[in-house]
Amino acid sequence: MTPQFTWEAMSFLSQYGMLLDQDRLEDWVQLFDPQAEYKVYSRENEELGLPAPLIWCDNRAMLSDRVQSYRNVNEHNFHWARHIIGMPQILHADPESLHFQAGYSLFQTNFEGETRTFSVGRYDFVCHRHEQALRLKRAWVIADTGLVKTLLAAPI
Amino acid sequence: MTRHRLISANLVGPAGLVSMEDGEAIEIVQKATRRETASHSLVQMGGLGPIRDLEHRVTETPIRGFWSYWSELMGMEPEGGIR
Repeated sequence: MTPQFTWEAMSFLSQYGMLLDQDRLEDWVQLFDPQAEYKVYSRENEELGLPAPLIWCDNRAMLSDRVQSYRNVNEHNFHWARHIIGMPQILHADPESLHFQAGYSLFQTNFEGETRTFSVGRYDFVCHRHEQALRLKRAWVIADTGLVKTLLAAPI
Repeated sequence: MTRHRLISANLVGPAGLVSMEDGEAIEIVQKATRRETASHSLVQMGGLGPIRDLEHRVTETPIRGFWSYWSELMGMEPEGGIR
């Protein structure tokens, strides 16, 4: 294990979080491989071995649909998002791919300036290398926060 | 089949493409009606009065029409029920 892998994972996670926090969802989608899986599910279900997800996209086009729906269709609470992502733990690394996990906290701040903790959990990411950069092949978001207060419209 | 059901889960729940607004809508109503915490707030949209044809389904009137006719068909119309 070399520091290089940790550094790469950190850079990737900071980009991932910042794109979401800056509401650049279309750019965020481009972090994914066309055949990538994106799944949000609760830690409770993970520990019980139950498969029901909150969101499950098994390719990038489904993610784009979600973003389109968010932009043009869904009524949602206007807010700013802020992802605080912890240090990644590298689970596997080779020249082609990188598997790592990291804790996250996601805060939402409404336009009255009130901040609430929206979701806490961990990312379990598998990235492949694509033209020197990392691209997500599998993104699991395992949320400790099983209770979504109102709705989960923007991705975590 | 399990996979089919799991993919369909994208439609329901707090992140469901069909149902995600429900919780938000209820929260908005809750915020709007919270002022009088010791008493009750009641929003009536078509909850009373005649049942008639409408161009829209914004109010409760069409739902009342549905149940009114249903109970009539079932022979279990409540006393004083409006047709």
